[in-house]
Amino acid sequence: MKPISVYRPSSIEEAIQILSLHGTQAGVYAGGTDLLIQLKNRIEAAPSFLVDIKKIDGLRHIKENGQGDVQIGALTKLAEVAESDLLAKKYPMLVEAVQKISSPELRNASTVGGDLLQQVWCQYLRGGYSCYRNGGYICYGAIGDNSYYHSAMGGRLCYAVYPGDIATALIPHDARAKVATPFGLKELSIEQLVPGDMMVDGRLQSHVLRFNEILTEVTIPAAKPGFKASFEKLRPRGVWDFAMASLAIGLQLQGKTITDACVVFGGIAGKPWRETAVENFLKGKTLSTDLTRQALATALTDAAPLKYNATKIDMAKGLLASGMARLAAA
Amino acid sequence: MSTKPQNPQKPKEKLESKPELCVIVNQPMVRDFSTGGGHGPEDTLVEGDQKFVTRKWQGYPPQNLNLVGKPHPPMPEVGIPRLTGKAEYATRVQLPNMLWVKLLTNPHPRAKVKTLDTSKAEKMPGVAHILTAKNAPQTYPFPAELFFQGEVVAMVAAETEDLAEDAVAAIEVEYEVLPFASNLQQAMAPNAPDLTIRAGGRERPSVVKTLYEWGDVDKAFGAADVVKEFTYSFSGAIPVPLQPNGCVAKWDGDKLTIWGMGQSIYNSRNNAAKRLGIPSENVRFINKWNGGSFGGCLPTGDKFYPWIAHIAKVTGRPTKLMLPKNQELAFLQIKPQTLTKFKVGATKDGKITACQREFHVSMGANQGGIQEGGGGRSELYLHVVPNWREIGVLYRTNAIMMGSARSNFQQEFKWAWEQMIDEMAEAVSMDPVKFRLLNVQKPGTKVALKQGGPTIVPMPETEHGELHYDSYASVEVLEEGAKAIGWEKRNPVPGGNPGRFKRGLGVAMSQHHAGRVGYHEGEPGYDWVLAKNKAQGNVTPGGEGDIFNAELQLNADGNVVMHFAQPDSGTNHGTAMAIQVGEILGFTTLDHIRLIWGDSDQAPSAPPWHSGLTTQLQGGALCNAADKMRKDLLSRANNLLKVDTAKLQIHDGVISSTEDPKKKTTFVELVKANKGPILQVGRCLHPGSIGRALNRGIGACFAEVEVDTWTGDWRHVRVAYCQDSGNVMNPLLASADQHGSLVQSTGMATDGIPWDREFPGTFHYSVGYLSYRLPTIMEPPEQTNVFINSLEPRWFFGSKGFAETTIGAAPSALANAIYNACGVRIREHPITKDKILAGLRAKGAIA
Repeated sequence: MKPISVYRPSSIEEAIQILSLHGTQAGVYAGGTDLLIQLKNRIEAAPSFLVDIKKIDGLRHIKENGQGDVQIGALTKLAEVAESDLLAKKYPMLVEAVQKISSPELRNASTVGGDLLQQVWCQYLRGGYSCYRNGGYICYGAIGDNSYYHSAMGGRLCYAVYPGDIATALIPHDARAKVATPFGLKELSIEQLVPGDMMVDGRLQSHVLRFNEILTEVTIPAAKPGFKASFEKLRPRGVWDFAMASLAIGLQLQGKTITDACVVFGGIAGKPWRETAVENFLKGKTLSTDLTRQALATALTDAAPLKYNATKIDMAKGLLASGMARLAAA
Repeated sequence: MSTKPQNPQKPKEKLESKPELCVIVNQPMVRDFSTGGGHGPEDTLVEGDQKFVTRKWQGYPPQNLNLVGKPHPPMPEVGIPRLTGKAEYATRVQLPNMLWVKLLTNPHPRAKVKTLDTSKAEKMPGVAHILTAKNAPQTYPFPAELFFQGEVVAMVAAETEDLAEDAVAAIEVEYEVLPFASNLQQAMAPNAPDLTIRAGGRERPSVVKTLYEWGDVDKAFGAADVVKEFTYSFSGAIPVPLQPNGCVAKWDGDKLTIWGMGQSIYNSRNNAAKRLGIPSENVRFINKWNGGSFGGCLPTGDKFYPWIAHIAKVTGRPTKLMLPKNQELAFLQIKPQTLTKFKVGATKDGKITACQREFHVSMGANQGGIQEGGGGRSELYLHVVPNWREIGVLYRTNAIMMGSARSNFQQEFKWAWEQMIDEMAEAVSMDPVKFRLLNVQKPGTKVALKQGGPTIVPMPETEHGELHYDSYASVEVLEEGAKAIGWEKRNPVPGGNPGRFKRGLGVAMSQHHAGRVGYHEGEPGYDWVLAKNKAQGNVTPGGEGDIFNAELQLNADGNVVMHFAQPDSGTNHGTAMAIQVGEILGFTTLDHIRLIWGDSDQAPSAPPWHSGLTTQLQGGALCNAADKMRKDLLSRANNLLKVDTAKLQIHDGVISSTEDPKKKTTFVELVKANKGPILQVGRCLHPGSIGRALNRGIGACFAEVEVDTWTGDWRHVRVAYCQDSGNVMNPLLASADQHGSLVQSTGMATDGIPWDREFPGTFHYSVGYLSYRLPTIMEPPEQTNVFINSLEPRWFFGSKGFAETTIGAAPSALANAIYNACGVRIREHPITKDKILAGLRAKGAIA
């Protein structure tokens, strides 16, 4: 393993100063379940200067503010989200999504911020291949074995799927991410945070954070009355695996009428895939089991599967059917 | 998950263990099988042309037992160190001043090293030694050609693992990439490279073909009512040892100690000594615990011991190797890729009349001989189908070597066999259980050598070229398994159940030579086999043809110490063997039994263990020693008490007269009178053939699955795991063992060799099992173990081995169950959710 230095700043400002000092050689170290594995696997692009933010106060919390919004600190463990009574009451779909992430051991260690900003789990990148994300000029996933971890919705440079589930589940809730920068705080929607396959500071990454920016908090607005949501996930193995396809669907209902819809697929594209065609189709319709078949017909029509992953689209559609059925039955 | 603090006032809740889902079906003691050999323990069996006589149950009948058949937790000296993390696995051995070794491995499927520059690495901090082809011991050189990805190119020994890894990264190598064939498709292609191995004046061909035929297959196809053809492929499977393979070597003068991992003590010791050019008595080999070796680890450790010992010698420091998981895989034995084509003819009432089978196997980088695919594992039907043609083609490939890996050639062949049987049952509109009952070999079937193809060799019980062996339960495993799973509720229409989530039931069979018992000293068969092995030069110390030795020592404290070589791989055979020894010596508890094992300085020599034979053969040696000890103690008591030995009884270390219980002595008194421990040595022999054609142990796996027909997701709901087990020594261990068996075989159903599909020969096993999904604790189904006690007449207490009896059946049982659930037949292994969904789409079952 290459030599590493670990900093333990006690404030966000100090952390940002250290990150700024080392540039792209530095990286934020939170739960470590992604970062430390990158280092152990000798991935070139992994940082050498780790800025451990676990000593910084005020980053690990789940709390409700005066407006009924819930704020989740970036250092909050996934297990804490999965076991939170407050979140289970207010955002059961999010809690279900987090409960389906990886394994209990990993949920005990990994953080909300880390899940949102994690590196892709393409076996070529993680195997140390010199791909776009690892300082090279090729995407092995596009031409190689792309069975499970690569996009079926097209791509640009990197074809790896965005692996996080929290982002997918937060989008129907209109959650916003708070980011500390050298110039103060900024706020982004989740879709703005992880647009996928972005070149930032000369590095290909799924999120837009610069080398000296730190995600500090996620705010989830209180759901309006009549909001119903469902999360579905299909993995090669029942636990401790990434999604072959996942789905977060949120419907705003007035009686049985859908006034607004948000349909987000995970595990099929380089970002959480917002399926606006289905959303537009659903708006104004009456929620019923009959609606599913028509909704499926409008879903994922611009799919662009690679050699081995065409089934992802059928899986995603299956999950949409499943999610619609659950909402109709609820 | 509850994080609430416990009330300290509240008494601790007693944990109620869930009742084991375990059924033991005892067959009657009196049976009508030809080798049943009479009705009581006084009766004898007469076998083979030599008319060998064996006392039924070796004189120890499965009656009035105190220890055998009762649930026993592991012996404390085996179980407690494991559970408390104190067990001395080789990977846990830490010595002062120890060096760590890391490997530089070949990244290409086949290559030669053109240039190798270690100069930078040598100068790096902490580097003590770099071993390459240039300075490797002449007695054990590095491979000249790198025949598979992952082969060793250089070994770096340094102060820490990290420093060794850094130095490995600094070695500069240029490879000449050679033409390769890594998988079956490449090996079968017309332009496949010639991979013949020419070494030591011998030539090992690239491709080996075999053909066996009897009856008139073509004529039989013409006469058959139904003729069907099927093709199946198995994409290989890997055993995954939990403990990383590794070893530690340490020299004291010219004495070498190796802490190793694997399934042998003496064989490993002798191999290491031979390769180092030193006398084997200078090597002490220790391996008490393994974190599962599964057959796959048989060759792994042995490959590295000499090099690690050599580094330890030249550096004068203890040296340790611990293989990372991705590197370890290259050195395991795995289940090979296979392709099987069937043409099968049957009568309209379901009797198979002709079978033609063509199988292709990727052997991998096997440098040695060829096992001919284990005969293709056709034994369940081989001697029953009258017209048979078998074409086997084995290809040497630039891949991980094939070999025994949680059974020897079962899953990979049964995948095709047992799906074919299901498809034939459907073709003649018969229930798959009834179809199997009609076609499977049953007791009474004569097993003829001429009909056995490559699968049998003459054995002591061969008579006029035929084998007679009837103590197996092919019918019972099917009937009892069907009962346990509720087969009568199965919907015969594939996908016929309504709704989104469809359940289905499937069955498959398997058989294993694990039931094979041996011969112990004092039996005529023992002398016959020993003479044969010696004549064939097959008796190297601790080698396959050698004797299993065991020592029993009765001490002045009344404890019986068992000395035997076999390392424990979680198999817990020590406890099973202690039960037998204790039973023979009249104990009602295991409190006075002690185990010493896994160390060449402390246990007598024995061949490696494998094939589920440990409790039979090493246990046979111990039973032999215990039998001698019992007779010795009775004779001493007879001298002392002047009571006829026939009128003496032994109960927990007290020998007394059955007529006058006041006339008694104890083990302790006899040892004192002896002025020292009383010792006995027992010996047992492998019968020389593993008896592949003999259905010594038969298993049936009944599986229930649930398929989500919207997404392709599926769930393993329930299993009835049935085996012909003989008399089970320890039901607790037997059940646990069979849980492990099912979990591992399920993993072999859902994952093939983790090859990259686009760049075969390069595996992407690199990131913590990212691409090889072992079943987790969440996956296993509710499991009912059904043990058919067939009361094996030839062995102590009616026991036989059954570790791998049913294991071969699980993958095909699951495939059959998925077909029954949703109508999708997965002929191309492995079973994946995307294949189920693609199958549903092809059927038009999804929009």
